[in-house]
Amino acid sequence: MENRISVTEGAACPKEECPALGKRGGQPHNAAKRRETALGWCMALPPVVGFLAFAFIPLIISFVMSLNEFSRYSYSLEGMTFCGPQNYIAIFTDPDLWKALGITLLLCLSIPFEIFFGLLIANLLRKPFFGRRAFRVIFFLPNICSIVALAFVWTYMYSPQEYGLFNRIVSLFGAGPFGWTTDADMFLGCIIVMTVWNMMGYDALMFQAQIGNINQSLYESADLDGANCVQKFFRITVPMATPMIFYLALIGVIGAMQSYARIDAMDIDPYGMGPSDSGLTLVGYMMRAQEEPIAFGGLGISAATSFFLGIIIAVMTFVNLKVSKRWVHYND
Amino acid sequence: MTEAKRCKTAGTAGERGARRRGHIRFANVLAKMCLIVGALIILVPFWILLITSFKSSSEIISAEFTWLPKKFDVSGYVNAFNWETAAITSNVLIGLANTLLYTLPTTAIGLFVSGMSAYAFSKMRFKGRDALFAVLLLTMVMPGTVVLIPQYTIYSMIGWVGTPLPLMIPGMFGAAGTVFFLRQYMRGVPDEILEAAQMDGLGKFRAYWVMILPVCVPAFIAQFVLNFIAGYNDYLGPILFLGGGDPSRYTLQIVLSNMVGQSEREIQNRMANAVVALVPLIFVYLFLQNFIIDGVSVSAVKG
Repeated sequence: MENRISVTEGAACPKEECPALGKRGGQPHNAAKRRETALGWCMALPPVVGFLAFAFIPLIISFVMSLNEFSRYSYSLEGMTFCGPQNYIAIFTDPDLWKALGITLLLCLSIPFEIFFGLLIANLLRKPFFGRRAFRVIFFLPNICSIVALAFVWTYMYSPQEYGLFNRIVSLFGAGPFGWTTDADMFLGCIIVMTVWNMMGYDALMFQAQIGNINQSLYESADLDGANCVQKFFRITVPMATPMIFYLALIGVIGAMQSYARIDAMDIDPYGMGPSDSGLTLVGYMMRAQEEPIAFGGLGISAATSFFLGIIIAVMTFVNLKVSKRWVHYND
Repeated sequence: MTEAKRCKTAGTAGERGARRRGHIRFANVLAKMCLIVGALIILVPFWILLITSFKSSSEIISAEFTWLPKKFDVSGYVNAFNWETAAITSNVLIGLANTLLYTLPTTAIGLFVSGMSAYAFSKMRFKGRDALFAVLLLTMVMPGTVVLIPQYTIYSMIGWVGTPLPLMIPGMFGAAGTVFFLRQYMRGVPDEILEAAQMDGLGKFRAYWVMILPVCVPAFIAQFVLNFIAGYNDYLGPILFLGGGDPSRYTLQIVLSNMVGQSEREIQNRMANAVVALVPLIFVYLFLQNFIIDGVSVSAVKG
């Protein structure tokens, strides 16, 4: 397209006066080119500078911090002394870290459900009908709301008392009352259910965008062949949605690995991570080392944990990228 | 439409066609029922939040559950809006004001900067452009929580902890995701209008301001709203950088999280505060849902 423009416009104006066309338009003056480069750098640079200053340099510092010991109560880099891999040895020999890793991985169990319900909703909303827009708006609603405010109503519904909604529901079947979020064995399950409720609309929206891109003639030829909607779903929609399934699984895992807010907000006890630490995630482990340095080890431990978390996420991203090439159908 | 087509092509088998039509109608009704049940599952917690905020404490913990409050009791809202009685650490209005004060300028400036960057990446040719863009893409795969601890250390050394600066300054440098989205959008803008600007003697920067911005308004609105919502709901950052400090600087999310774990008698207050916190957001969402939904789904396909 740019070529076409340069041909038609090139005839109309002298080539020197069209620096917008760049190389393809001809040979602009060197000065103009230099000016464009300078301006381009100035305009493009701020986000890169922001990234370097607020993310990349902290990442380096995080690694340095993880190799140092901090005097308790010190939040400054000045009071640190080099201690080699001591912090890593400390966290890897701490059963709590492995417990936190296990809990964090368990939280990923919400992802298949989110994806399944999301794909189902997107498929039900595939064809236009009256009220489709309203459904889209409703399903996405929980996603824009703050998790703390939502946690208020969910803790109320999960109340261990008999007035809790979930206890009312199970009492219809003669069961309960259960402790729900106050029960260490049920806490993670409660979090997962709320997460599915919260996230499925997001996944549905993503799938709708993907499904909208599927060539409609596939469905039409399937109709001609007499395929029913279940067959169409599993033979066309699901395979064509694999790039999105992969993408959502990946960002879902990355999100779940960093989960903290929902657990902090759902936990009645403000000083813990769920009943008997049953909701202690990796970020929770990292945060408590920073917040309570005496009990849980301080900044060095915290930095080592965050670096460990970063490496896990990087490896997952990389593996997912490699594996996905084998089974993902791209629509191009 | 497809039904009509099927009748035309496979219409000879009358009986089978009728049965299939019956199947389709049944499947259609089933689909709508699934959607309605799903929508109810989404909406019921919101409804419970709303009605509980109007129920008196005794009604909340009574054995009988009603879908409407028997008697509308607004004391939760009275407490939330009362400057004297509401503890300053949990004053939702201060939190709301602070959140807007921190989030709106940050979002606006960050969006302007991201837009400029996106313009340079999409419409200008300069040495090192692609290398710079590759560096920027790195940001998108880097999880934010990983650098929180060193950020905290740096900010505490330069005296930013306890101030809203850590929540504002980094955002003003723009965000990689926003740049990526806007760049994608601007690539769809034909170069002709830029050439027209060039012929009128507009510089590159003026061309961005006069020609590109107006065309890209929907994309900018979408990104503005999404970034605003993200800032409004930000939890971990405010807790870490402001949580222990001056209560008059607390954001909405800190205020709300301070109410977690209050006693049963406070349920009504908590719900009222949650409603106050959610209502502005839900209004923005309903008002701009076109931009939000399209913004999210476009970023989905492109990302």
